[in-house]
Amino acid sequence: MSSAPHTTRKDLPGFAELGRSEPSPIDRYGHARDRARLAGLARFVNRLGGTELFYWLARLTYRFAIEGEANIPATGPCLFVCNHESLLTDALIYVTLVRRRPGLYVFAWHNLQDERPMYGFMSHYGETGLEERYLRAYKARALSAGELLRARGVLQAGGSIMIAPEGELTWDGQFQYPLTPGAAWLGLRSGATLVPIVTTGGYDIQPRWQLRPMRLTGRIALCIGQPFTLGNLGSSDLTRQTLEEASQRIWAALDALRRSLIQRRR
Amino acid sequence: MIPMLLWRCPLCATDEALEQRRRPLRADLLRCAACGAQWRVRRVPGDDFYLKLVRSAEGAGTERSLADWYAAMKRKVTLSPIHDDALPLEPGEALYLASRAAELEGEEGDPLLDPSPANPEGGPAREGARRDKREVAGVVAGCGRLFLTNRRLAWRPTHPVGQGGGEVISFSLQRLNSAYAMMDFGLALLVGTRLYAVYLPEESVLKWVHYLALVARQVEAETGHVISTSHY
Repeated sequence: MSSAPHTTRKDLPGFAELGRSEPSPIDRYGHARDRARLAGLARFVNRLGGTELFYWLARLTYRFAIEGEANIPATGPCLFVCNHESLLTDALIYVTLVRRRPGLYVFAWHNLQDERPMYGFMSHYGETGLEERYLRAYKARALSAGELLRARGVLQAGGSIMIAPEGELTWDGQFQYPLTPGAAWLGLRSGATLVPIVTTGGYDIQPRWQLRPMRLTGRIALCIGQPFTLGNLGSSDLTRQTLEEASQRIWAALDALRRSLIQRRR
Repeated sequence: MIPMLLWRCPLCATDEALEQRRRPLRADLLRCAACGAQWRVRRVPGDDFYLKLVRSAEGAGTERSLADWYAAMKRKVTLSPIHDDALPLEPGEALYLASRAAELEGEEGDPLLDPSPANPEGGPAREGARRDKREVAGVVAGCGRLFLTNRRLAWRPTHPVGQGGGEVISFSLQRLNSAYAMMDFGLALLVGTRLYAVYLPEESVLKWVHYLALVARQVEAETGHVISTSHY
């Protein structure tokens, strides 16, 4: 292995002999490229006519609607907890939040091969300081603990972070349960304000089982709920039960917001 | 495509029997190659996809959301032993799932994948793993097949890269801490404190998540060891 440390799948023999004529029918870097293109387009539109033009185009294409934008705190430590419908809605949430909170940190997926699609989106959108602002969520239990400590430092310094506590994109469009404990831990250990954010309509545009091609029609709604706090506990006061209760509270806030949004959009 | 989600026919419970036929300007069709059932796919913007059963021995005309069909499929998934000559089993071991062509990645310097003396970490496997993965790079270990039994995840290389050889690598389920799906193309496995990634380009990753979750429940009931898995 040490002889070829950066071999990619395309260089590998074997797939043909295992019954395939091509190395892989799935282009695993395609998602990252799509996000980069989307970001490039958003940046271009922003330069051309500002965010107004951007939102006008999003409204035209996806009948994009935002509710509760006034609930975004302008200052102070803030954890934006959102549902995880599709790559497109993640990007829309980010673009909406960063208008009011420049310097927003993002907790997003990262793996050993340095694949990090959200990083690609942010850099192509023109964001800077990403090595600092991109918090790595590893797909492995407890491996993101170091990043959580960094995130707590960000909140204690008055920063803001976007996190999707479902842990991964939904497979079937349903809101996932239970949540990963990172958001609850951050909320409890930092005393930061939590702002629940949900989207609807992203799933049928770009479901996880068919990330490409992304559909160019749909109905996306984004709703920002009332901020709340979970308290501010010391490490000795934090138990598994308090963590689970806090997670449950976040889930309930997101679920209630999602249900009411669906009701209104019908 | 929908067969990545519905990796088993919700009617006849045959694995990987569904095929989706794209029809420009018309509704897509979903067909089961095993039982002949056929669905028409309808997308409702802002909501979900709806599948209407248009051809079937019974229940034709039924329309349900894709999420409902998926829930119906999930109810029928159970662990049942299969046979595959590629993996010799130990006494009392049951094989549940065997992958098609796959690719394994591990951490640079993992002695399990590269036991050569040139490997600076050398020595017994599992030493030298770092919890903070920020500075840890991943490397491709080669092509092969992944197997899931009631005791282990086994990797049988067909085309290893480097000096790791072609022996079967076994990851005991008692040391497997988590197994999560990466997007739609692979699995991230945490064994001890070592991170591995298996790319499964030929089949549904969700099928693996299902089986891993079922086996995880079995392992927890028998030994108390918890394996975290993705939502499914």
